[in-house]
Amino acid sequence: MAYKKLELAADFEHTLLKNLSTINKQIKAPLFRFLRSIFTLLAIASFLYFIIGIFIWPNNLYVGLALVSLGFFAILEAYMGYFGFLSGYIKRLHFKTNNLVDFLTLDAYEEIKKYPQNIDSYNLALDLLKYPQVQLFLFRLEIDSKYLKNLLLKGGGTNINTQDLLQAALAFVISRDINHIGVINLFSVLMQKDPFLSNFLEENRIEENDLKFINDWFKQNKNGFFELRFTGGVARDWTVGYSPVLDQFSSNMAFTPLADWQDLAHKAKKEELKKSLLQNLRGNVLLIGAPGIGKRSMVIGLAKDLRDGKCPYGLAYKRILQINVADIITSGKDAAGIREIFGRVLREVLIAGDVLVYFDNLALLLGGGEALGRVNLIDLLTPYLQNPNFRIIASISDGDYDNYISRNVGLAQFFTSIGMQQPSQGENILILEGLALMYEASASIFFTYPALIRAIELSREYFWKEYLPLSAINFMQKVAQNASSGNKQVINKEEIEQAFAKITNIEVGEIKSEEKIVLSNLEQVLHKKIVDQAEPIKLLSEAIRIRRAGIKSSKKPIGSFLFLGPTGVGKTETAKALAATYFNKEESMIRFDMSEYQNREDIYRFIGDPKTMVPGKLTEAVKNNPFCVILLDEFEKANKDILNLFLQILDEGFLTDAFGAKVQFHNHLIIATSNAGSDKIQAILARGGDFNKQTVNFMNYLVREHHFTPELLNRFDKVVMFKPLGREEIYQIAQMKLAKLEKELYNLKRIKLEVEDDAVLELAKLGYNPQFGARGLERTIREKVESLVAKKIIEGNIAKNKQMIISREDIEKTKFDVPQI
Amino acid sequence: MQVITPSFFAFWYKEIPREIVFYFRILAYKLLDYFSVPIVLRTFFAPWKRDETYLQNAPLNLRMQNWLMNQVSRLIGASLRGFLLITYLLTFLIELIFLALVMIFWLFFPLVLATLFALGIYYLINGLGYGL
Repeated sequence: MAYKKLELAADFEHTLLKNLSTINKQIKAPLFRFLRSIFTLLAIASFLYFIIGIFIWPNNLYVGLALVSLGFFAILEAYMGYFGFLSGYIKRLHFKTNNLVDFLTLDAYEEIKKYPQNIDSYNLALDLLKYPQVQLFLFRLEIDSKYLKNLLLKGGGTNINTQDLLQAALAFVISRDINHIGVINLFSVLMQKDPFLSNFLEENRIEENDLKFINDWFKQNKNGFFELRFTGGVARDWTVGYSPVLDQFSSNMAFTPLADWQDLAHKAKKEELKKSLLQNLRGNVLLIGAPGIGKRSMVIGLAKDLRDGKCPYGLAYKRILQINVADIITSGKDAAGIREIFGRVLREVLIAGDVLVYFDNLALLLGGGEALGRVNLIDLLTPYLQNPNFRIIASISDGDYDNYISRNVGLAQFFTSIGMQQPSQGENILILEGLALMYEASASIFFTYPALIRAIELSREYFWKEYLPLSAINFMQKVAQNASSGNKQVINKEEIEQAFAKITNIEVGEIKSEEKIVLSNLEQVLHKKIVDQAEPIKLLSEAIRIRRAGIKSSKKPIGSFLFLGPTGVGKTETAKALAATYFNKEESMIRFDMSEYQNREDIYRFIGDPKTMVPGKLTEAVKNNPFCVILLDEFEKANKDILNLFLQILDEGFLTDAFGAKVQFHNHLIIATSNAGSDKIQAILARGGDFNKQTVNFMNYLVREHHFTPELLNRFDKVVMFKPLGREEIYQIAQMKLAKLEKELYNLKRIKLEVEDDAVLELAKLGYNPQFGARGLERTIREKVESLVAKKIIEGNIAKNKQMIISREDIEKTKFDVPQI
Repeated sequence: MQVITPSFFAFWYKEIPREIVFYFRILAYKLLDYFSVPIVLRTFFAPWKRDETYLQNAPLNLRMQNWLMNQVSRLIGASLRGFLLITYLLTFLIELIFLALVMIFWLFFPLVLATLFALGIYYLINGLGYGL
C-alpha cells in the first residue's frame, strides 16, 4: 500500500506542518519561554500556598493570585500539549495523507520549505549540515563534515526539482521501513541526486547500499509500550502441570540474555518456524545450518515473541525450554541413570502441557551422545515425536544432518526441516550496528560505519572457523575490549585493521613501510636463508606480492607450488624461510609428511572421520591457522584419492570436511614437495636449454611414469624444479649453518666460536653427497663441530667470553665417518 | 483526501477524547490479559495445575476415590479462577469510573479554567480591598 504513495504531489500550502511550524516558532519564542517559566514558578508557589499558606495566612489577595497564575499556567501547558499532539499526529499521518510534504519531519520541512519548486543542492546540503544528526551521520561514514562544508561553500550546486527529490526520499524511507523523511534521510537522497556529492561518495567508496544500511543505524526503536500483547497473565501458570525435573534440566529461552539486535536476522525463517510448529503432521522442526549463523538466536527470538504474545493463537501461552543435555549426562550416575532422567524430562514436558522443547545440537542425542556419555538417547525421544502435544525444535549442522537424519527415514519423517543460511550482508550490518550502539552506550567508544564493514569482511575472510555473524560479533567484542582498555574513543576502519593484526598477527589494510621493505626485497631476504634456487624464490615472492597488493580477489589459495628435486636441495627450507619471513614465524607452517597417507583409509585421518567423530589433521590445522604455509612433503607418496582432494583445494580454495564444514584455503600458501624422478632431473638439466622447457619435459616424464596426473600438475600455480646442489652451494650452506651455530653459542654460553675457512671447506667436502644434497651436511657439522665444542665445554677447556677457533686439523682429527644415508 | 489541520477546538473536543478512549481501551485489554480472562474462561473447570490422575484396571473404590480427588482439584481450580474473575470485573469497573472521571474533567476543563480565572479575579479584587 505504501508504494502507492510514491506518486504523490508536494503541496506546501496545505500541510499540517505549516501549522506545526508556526506553533513551534511561537513556543520557542523568548516571550513564550519567559511567560512559561514565570507561570510555572507561580503555579508551584500557588500550590504550596494552597497546601500550607492558606491555613497560616489566609489572604484573599494570595488566593486570587494563585488561582489566576494557575489558570495561565494551564493555558500555556495546554498550548504546549497541542503542539505535542500535532507532532504525534503527524507521525500517524502517513496512513491517510495524500500530500508528499506531510511525510517530512518538522526539521526537514523547515529546511525544504524554502525551495517549493527547485532546490539548490549545495544550499540545502549546507543547511542540513548544521544539524548535529547530519554531522554524526557523516562522522559515522568517516567523512569530515567541515571538509565537505568547505567544498560546498565554493559554490556551483545543481538545481533539483523539489517534487523529484521528495519522491526519491519517500521511496528511500519506505525501502528502509521508516515512516518519515528526516534530515538524515533527506541528506542521503540529496547526496545521491547531486552529481558532485554522488561523485564525492564514490571517491569515498560509499555505495547506495551503504547509505541504506547506515540510515538503518539511525532508525529509532519503536516504543512498544502501547502494543497489544497477550502474555497470559497471572493465571497462566495455573494451567501448567508440575515439572520439577524438567525445570532442573532446562532453561526458559525467553529469559536468555539476548539483546534485540541479535534477533534482527532470519525474520522470514522465524515466521516459517512459527508456521511449521502449527502443522499437525511433522510439527517438529529441525533447523539445519552451520554453527554460529543464528539458529539459537532465532529460537530465543521466537521464545521472546511467545512470552510477549506476538504469535499465532496456536502457539499462544507456550514457552520454549532448552534442554541441557550435557547436564543430564553429567548428572546421571550411569547409562541407566541418564536414561531415567532424560525419560522423566520428556514425560514432564507432556505433564507441563505448555512447553516447546529445544535441543541446541540434536547430534548429541544421536551419536555425539554416545561419544559423550556412551548413551544413545534418541530411542527415548522417538515415541514422543509422534505425539501432537509434543513439539520439539532442534538445531543440527549440515554435516550431522547428512550423517544422522537424512539416512534415518524413520526419524526424518517426524521433522520439518528448515535450512538456514548465513544472514545477508544487510542483516549482518544491522546486527553489528546494534552491537556497536550497545558498546557505545556502555564503554564510551564510537564506531564508524566503514569499521563495521571491515570487521565483517575480515571475519568472513579469516575467522571462517566460526560463521557470520558470530565470528564478527566475537571480533567486535575483542575490539571493544581492546579499545576501552587502550583509552581509544573512535573505532574506525584503521583501528579495526590494527586490532585484527594484534589479535591474529596477520597484516591487512594499507601496507606499512616496514612491510613494504620486506615485500619488495623478499627475494633478497629469502636468499639469505636459501642458497641458489633463484627461480623458485622469484616465483614465490611474486605470488606473495600480488596477494598483498590486493590485486587478486580469487578464492584460490595465495599460491600453490609443486617443488620438484632431489633430497636436500632446499625445498623444505624454502617453505620454512618463507613462513619465517613473511608469515612472521617458522611455526606459521603446517607440515604434513604425505608418506603417512598412503592408504585409502588414511583419508579419514586427513579430513576427519564421521564414525569416530575424530577431526581431520589437515582440516583442523587449517581451521586453527587461517593464514600460513601448508607444506606437503613427499607429495607423490600420498594415496591417489587424497591427491584428488587437492584438485578441489587448488582450484576452488576450499574443502568440505567429513562433518560437512567448509574449510577455506584462500589465505594459505600451499607448497608440495616431491623427489619423484629426481634421478632424471640431472639428466634433463645436463641437456641444457631453457629452464621452463626443461620443467615441462620433466613434468611430462612424471605423468608418463604415473607419479602425478596431468590434472593435478596443471592445478598448481607453478611447478618448480630445484637444481641439485654442487660443491660451491654446499660450501655456502655450510657457512650459513656455522654462522647460525656461532650466534646460538654466543647467546647461550657466551662463547665466541670461529671456524676457519679451510675447516668450512673441509666440512662442505665431508657433508657433500650429490645424491642427498645438503642433507648430510647438518650431521657432519653436528658430529665434527658441535661435539668438539661440547667436549671442550665439559672438560672446562673453554671459558666464557673466550674465543674458540676450529681449524681444518681439528676437523680432520675428529674421528668420524659421515654415514651414507 | 486532503488532511485538514485539527484546530485547537477539534483537538480539545474530538482528538483528545478519542485518544483518551484509545488508551483506556488498551488498558482494558491489558487488564484482560493481566487477569488471564481468556485462559480462565477456557479452563474454568480444568484441574488445578493439571493435577489429575488416571487409574486404569484399578478396583472400583480406588477409582471412585481418584475421581473424587480429581473433582476436588477441579473445584480448587474453579474457585481460584472465580475469585480472579471477580477481581478482574471490579478492576474493570474501577477503570470505567476512572475513564468517566477523566473524560468529564477534560470536557469541562475550559469551564474549570474560566471558573479559576473568575474566582481568582474575584479574590484579587477582594484582597486589594475593593470588596464586591
